[in-house]
Amino acid sequence: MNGLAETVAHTLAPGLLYPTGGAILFALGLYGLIRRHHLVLRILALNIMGSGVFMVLLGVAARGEGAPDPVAQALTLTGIVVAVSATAFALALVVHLTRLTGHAVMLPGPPDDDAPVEDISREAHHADGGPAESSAGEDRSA
Amino acid sequence: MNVLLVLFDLVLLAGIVGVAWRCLASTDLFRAVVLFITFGLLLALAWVRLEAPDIALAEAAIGAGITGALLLVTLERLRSIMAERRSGRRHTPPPDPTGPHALLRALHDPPPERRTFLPALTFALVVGGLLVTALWHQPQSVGLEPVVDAHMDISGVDHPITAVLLNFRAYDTFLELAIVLIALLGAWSLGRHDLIPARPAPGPILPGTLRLLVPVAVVTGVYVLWAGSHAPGGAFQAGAILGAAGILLVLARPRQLPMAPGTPLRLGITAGVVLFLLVGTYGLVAGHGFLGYADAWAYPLIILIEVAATLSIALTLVALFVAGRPAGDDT
Amino acid sequence: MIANALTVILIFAGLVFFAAGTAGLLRFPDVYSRLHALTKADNVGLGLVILGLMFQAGGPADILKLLLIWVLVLAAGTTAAHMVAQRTWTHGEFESDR
Repeated sequence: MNGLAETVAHTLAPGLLYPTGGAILFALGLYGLIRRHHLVLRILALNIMGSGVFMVLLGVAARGEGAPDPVAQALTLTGIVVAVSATAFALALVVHLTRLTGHAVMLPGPPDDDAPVEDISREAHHADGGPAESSAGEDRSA
Repeated sequence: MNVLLVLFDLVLLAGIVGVAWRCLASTDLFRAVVLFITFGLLLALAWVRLEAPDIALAEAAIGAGITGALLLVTLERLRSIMAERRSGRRHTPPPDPTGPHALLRALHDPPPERRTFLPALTFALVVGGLLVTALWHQPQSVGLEPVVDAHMDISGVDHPITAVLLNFRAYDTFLELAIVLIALLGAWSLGRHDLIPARPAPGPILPGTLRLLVPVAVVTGVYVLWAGSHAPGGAFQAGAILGAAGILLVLARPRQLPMAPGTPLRLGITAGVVLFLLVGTYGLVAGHGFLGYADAWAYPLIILIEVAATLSIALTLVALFVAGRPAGDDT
Repeated sequence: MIANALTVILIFAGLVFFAAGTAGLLRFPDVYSRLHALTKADNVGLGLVILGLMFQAGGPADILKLLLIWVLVLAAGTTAAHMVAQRTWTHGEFESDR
């Protein structure tokens, strides 16, 4: 009985509870990254995976007695700033892709799949007849 | 073991995982983004619980605030691009928000197909399970806290995290500033910026509030920067607060952005990296190693680098929000 | 001792207001009544929480910082509520809200 109480106390200490939560967040983000197609949602999934990593780092840093490990905390701080820069760049790419092709959805499998997403890009390009844009649109289906 | 604290931990973690799940399961992108901002704020609470007030500050300002603003403006951009394409017109300014409700059509992502369900679930479960197992069997260690503590007297500052960031592991911070700069160069390489798809809010409320908030934000930013040498705070949090103030100013009058003069803007954006590099090279020449300081000079040099880094981060965040090179800039 | 008791009582009172505001946010039918519930209740709730925390402050500087937080949240919350209401007035409600 005493052993069980000790195990529970060990498991529920922040130094183990939060890293476990971080691992769950990482797996959740991975699942969302695989299943969702819209690129903004995929970027959100990547950010959630990153937050899971931060949670593991900070949880492990807070283990034991005394002050938490400042190196892990500094690393996380660096990571947050890098994450926001990468997210901003990725979002700029999504906007650019949408401007070129008309949608921001990454389809599974080869582009000529039986996926039921209407391709606005081709209609728009035929209507416009702009050579530069149509070649940019064709790149995707090639 | 404090039962109430454990209860708090469990509720907080359940909330964080639940919000992340609802965010990723949402078919409406606007809802997903709002849930992601909530997720960031809950994370800030978790960081406070893990005795990391520096990270909590950064998460609330950067992870929830600035990332949220970036995501929302991206959704608005996507919506206006799609509306333009649907109506067959190109290169028109964003439609009038007082017009018909067409613009309010939410951006949707259809629910995922069934065939990806099992592989994705299996993969995520295996990876998550391996991670949890590894974490549970990780040996106890005291980490690097004693080492940092023993060298605090030569670091030049009194706050361990600032000491690690700007002195012991200045390399990381230098490369991080470089990454921020590269991200901006990448965004700028995609072309000049368009109009921000927002209209100035009619009425005196927003300008009036900004007249109150922006000076307070500037003072807070400088205070957080200065406090970083002895308490939670520092260049990143200060840069994020100043950047947020800049984004608010941009949003207050999106149609008449103050024309940023090219050269000073570029100097400001590169100031952090350039100064860091100069100081680092001087350290190399003077025999302290790359990015090393003489002990007596550590404090003034750290403050100098932090001021430049704050300026660069703030300007870069605003530039990333505006996205694209400044208009009328042909170099 | 009295300060601690006052802190606990004030924070609990504040939390009651937060709970009421959140219930309104979740249960009320349209944007305006939700905003109404949220802004009124949360401003009072935060005020009570801040007041409670002031009894734990280490000095006048901390008390002023807490007061500043309350004033800033009031200003920001008011502006945000105004802009949400105005957008709803000119545009109608978001599709996902209906």
